[in-house]
Amino acid sequence: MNPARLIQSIGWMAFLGLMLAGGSYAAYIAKFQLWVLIAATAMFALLVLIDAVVNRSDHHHDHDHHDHDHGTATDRWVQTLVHLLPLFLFMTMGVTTLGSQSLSGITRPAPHSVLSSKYAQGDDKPAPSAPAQPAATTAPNTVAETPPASATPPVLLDGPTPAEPLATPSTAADPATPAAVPLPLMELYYPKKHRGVTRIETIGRLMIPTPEEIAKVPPEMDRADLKLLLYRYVMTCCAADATPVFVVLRGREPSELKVDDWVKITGTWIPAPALGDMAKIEVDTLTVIEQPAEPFLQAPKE
Amino acid sequence: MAVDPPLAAKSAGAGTYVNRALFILLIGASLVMFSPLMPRQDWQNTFATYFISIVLEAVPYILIGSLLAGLIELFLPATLLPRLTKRLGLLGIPATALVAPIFPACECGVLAVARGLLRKGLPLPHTVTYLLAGPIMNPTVLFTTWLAFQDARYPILRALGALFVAITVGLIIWRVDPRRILLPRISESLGKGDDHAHDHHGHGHDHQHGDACGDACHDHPAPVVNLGAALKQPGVAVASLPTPTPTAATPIAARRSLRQTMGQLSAHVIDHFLEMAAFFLMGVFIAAAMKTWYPTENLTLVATSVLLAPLAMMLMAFILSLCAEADAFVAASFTEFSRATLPMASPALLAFLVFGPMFDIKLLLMYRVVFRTWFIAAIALAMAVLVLVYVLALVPVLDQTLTGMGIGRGAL
Repeated sequence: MNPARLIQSIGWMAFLGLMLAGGSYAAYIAKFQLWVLIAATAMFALLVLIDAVVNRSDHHHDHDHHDHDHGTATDRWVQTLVHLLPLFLFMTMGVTTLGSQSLSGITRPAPHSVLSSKYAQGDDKPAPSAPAQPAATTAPNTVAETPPASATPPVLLDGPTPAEPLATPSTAADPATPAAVPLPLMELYYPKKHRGVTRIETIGRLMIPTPEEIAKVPPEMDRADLKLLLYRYVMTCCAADATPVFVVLRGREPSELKVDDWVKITGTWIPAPALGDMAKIEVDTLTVIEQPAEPFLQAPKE
Repeated sequence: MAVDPPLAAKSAGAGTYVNRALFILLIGASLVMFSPLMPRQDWQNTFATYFISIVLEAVPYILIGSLLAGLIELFLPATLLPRLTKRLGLLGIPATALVAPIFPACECGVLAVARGLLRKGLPLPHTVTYLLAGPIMNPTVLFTTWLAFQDARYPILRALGALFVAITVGLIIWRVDPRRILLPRISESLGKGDDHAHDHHGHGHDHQHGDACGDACHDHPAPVVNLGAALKQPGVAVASLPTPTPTAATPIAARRSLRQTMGQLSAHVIDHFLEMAAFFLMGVFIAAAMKTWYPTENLTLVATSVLLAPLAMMLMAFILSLCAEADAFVAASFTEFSRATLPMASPALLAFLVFGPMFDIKLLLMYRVVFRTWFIAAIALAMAVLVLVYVLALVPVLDQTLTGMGIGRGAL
C-alpha cells in the first residue's frame, strides 16, 4: 500500500474508531445505525490489514489498478488531507450538536412524523381537548379509568444524570401531589399513551422566540404563551434530518434565562389542546445541566 | 512509489486541475473556518454536526457499495451482463430498472456498484438507469417512505417516478457515444478490454510479481467482450456487439488462491472507497454549509404554486442531501406542501422524494468521479424536467387510479 493510501485509510479508521470507542456516534446518528457502523468499520479495518499484508508481499500495488485516477503525487497528498477532514473536524470541535441557530422558526410544535404517526402505542393523535388549567388544579379527565401517575411505569429519560442535582420539588412534601414522571420531550405529544400522568420531568434546551418568529406562527396556534420554549431535536437517521419538538414553558421569566442552555424541567404537563398546537409545562423547577451524551431524541419506529 | 508517467500525463486534464483546485479550496476553507485560534461560534457547532452526521451515516453504505462492486468485479461472470442485455435489446433498460433491487444500494453506495457493473459489460445507458433507479427501488427506502407517510400511495408513486425518470434518461442516452459521457480515464480503462484492467504490457508500471509467483498465479483473463470496440462506435451499445467465445481464462476466480482473492478484493474495495470518499467529502462540506447558512424554509413560501412548489422541493432535496432512507420523514414534515393538495398525494413532496436520491450536492461531486461535467449538467436538467412532468401530468392520473383501487392512507 502506498504511503498516501495508507494514511488515508488510517485517517478513516481513526475517525470511525474514535466515534465508536467514545460513544460520540450517538450525538450524530440514530441508534439503529450503530451496528451498520460497527460492521462497516470492522470490515474496512480487516480489508486494510489484508491489503497491507497480502498485497505488500504478493506485489506492489502502486499501479493504476482499475479506472481509479491516482493522479500525480501532489494530487495524492492533497486528497490525503481531504480524507483527514472528518478526523480534523472532530478533533477540533469535539462532540457538537444543533442549537437554536438551526431552528427555522416555530411554525409547528413537532415533526409531522411525531404528531400524526401511529407509532406510539395506538395514540395517533394528541387528545382533542386537554384542559389548559393551572398546574395545581389540573386533573386529567381520564383519571378515573387509568391508574394513578405514581403507578405508571416510568419511561426512561434519555441522557445522563444531570451535572447538578435536581432541586427538590416544592411539592415533594405534599403527598397529594403526584411524583414527576420522566418523559422525553417528544412524549408530551402523546397524552393518551401516558394517561394519568400530570407531573413530568423532561430535558431540553431553552429558546426565547423573537417577535418576528412569533409573528410567523400559524393562526391556529395559540400565541399567548410563546415567551419561553423548551425544544429538542428528533432524528430519524442522522442529525442532518433532525427536526425540533417544542413545548411552551410557563411560570418562568425569559429574562432570567439563557438561550440554548440545557435544562431539566419538572412541572405540570398540559397537553396540546389540538393538533398543530403546543403542549405546555407549568414549571416547578428548572435546573441547568450539561449537554446529554445523546442530545437528540430518536424518532419513533414501528 | 513510482508514478506511471503516461497515465499521470493523461490524467492531468482540465478536470484534474479543477478537482485539484477544489480540493485545495476545501482544505483551505476548513483550516480557516475551524482554526483552533478562532473563538468558538454557534455556526461552527451547527456546521460540524451536519458534516460529521452525514459522513458517519453515509460512510458505511459507501463501504458496502464498494464491497459489492469488488465482489462484482471478482466474481460476476464477465459474459453474463453483455449476453443478457444483448438478448433484451432496448427492453434491457426497463429490465435493469426493475431488477435494481437485486443490487440494493442507497444513493451513497450505488455509484460504486454501478461502476462495477459497467466494468462487467453493462452498457452505459443501462448503468445510468440503474444508477438513478437503484436508490429508490431499494426495498428499505420504499418501506421507510410508507412508514413516514402511513400512506401506500407515496412509496408506489415514488417507485413509479423513479422508473419513469431512470428509464427515460436511459433511453435518451441510448445512442450517445459513451466516450462523450465518461471521463477519459474511465473509458480508456474500459477500452482496454481487460477485465483485470491493469495492463501489464501496455503502460509499464512498477507492478512486480514475487519470484515464486509469475503469471501462473496472477490471472490475466482474456477480454471476453470488446469494450474498446464498443466505445469507438457511437450509438452501439456494448451488448449489441458479438460476444466472443469465453476462453479458458473466463472463470476468473477459479485459478486464484484465497489469499490472492482476498488481496484483490481488499485492493478493489479500498480503491473504490477512497476515490469516492474524497469527492463525497467535498459534497458533504458544501451540503453542510448550505444547511447551516441557507434558510430552506424560504422555499416553503411557494407551497401553493403548482409549478414552483415541485421545483422548490427539488432544490430543497438538492441542498439537503439527505439519505434516501431518511428523506421521506423530512418530506412528511413539510406539512405546508401536503396541506395544499390534500387529499391528493402531494406533487411537490413526490418531486422531493424522486429527485433527491438521484441528484443532490454530494452526488453531484461523486458523479464527477465517473462522468464528464456536461453530462452531469445535462442529466440534472433532464431529471428536473422529467420529475416535473411526472408529478404534474402523471401523478394526478396515477393517484386517482390508486385511490380507486382502495390504496391510500393506512392501506398497503
